[in-house]
Amino acid sequence: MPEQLWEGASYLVAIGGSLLLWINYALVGLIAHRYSQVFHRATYSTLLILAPTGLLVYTLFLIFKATPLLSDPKLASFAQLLAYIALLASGFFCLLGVGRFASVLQSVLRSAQPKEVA
Amino acid sequence: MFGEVTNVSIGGMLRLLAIYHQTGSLRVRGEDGEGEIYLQNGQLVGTSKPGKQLHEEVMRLLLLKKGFFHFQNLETIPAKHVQGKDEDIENLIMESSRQIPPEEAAEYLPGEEVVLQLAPVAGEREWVRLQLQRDEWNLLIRVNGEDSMAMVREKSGLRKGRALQVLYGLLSAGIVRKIRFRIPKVIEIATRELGNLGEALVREAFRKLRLDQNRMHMRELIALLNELERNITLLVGPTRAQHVIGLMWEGSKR
Repeated sequence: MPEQLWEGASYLVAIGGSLLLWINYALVGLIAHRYSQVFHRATYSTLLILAPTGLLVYTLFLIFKATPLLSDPKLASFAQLLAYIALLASGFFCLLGVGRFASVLQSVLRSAQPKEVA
Repeated sequence: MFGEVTNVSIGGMLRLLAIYHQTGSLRVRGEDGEGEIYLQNGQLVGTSKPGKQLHEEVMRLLLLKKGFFHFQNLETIPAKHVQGKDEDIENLIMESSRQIPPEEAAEYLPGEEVVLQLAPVAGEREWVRLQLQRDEWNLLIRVNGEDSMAMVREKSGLRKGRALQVLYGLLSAGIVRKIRFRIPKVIEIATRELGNLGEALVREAFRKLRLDQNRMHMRELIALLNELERNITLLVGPTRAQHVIGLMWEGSKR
């Protein structure tokens, strides 16, 4: 019984963490969207908002795993693989989106500096 | 063209007619007299009292108080009214300013917070012959496009009444003119308040609105500040935006 409690608690913590991460990336996406409105440059805000969806897939897997729906070990292993692939893809696309947004920001701030006249 | 002397000085009106090379008669009627001044292509050529000296009669009319003037365009000035030629209306106006009571001069002057700058010479004259008294020159050199009229007056060291006379003369003669507002140092303010992002925002707004910082008028400044307020609100929030735009507005005031 205590083992099941620990497992349930760890699921809850993982779900909470995933949701918070997803909210964070969505907020970064919204900020990027505002920058694209102001500076009229592509800031990959849609990618930043959509990329963390893998975190939600992973969270869903954790929820299902705690229910009898994934009691079959084979099905559970397959679902787990899918969830981890979604998590990996999500991480990759988030990294890509943030990197692109950072480079756009850099170029915007760099172009603000007046060029030296020789 | 019709006007009231309480709104525009006769000298100021005469100068405008000269700048625009008008030909016709400027009829002036005031509390203590009336008369006409004739202009041919913007040059003073005569008055309605041919017997009197042109200079003397124009001076009398320039000093008329509270009344009306009316300018009538003419093809040419009748020969009987032509007494001579006087290009240098500025000197006549300056001379009349020396005789105008200070309190009357003050009525024509704008608020003392107004900033004055030297004015370019209009028209096609090759030479501008200005005859200024020492105290007039000493006040004129204080006009720097930065200080308010009150500061210019104080720095000149002249007593208030005389300074008002001189300022009235310089303004009416078109030697100096008002600056209505100044372009705030928007880039410096934005950079100071928001760092590099502030500078980027200002430059982006200039690009978007196709504005030149050195050739902006009030309308362009309003458009720029509206654009900046919108964008700063989007990126850093309305409170900071209002603060920064408030500083820029403050910077535009003289």
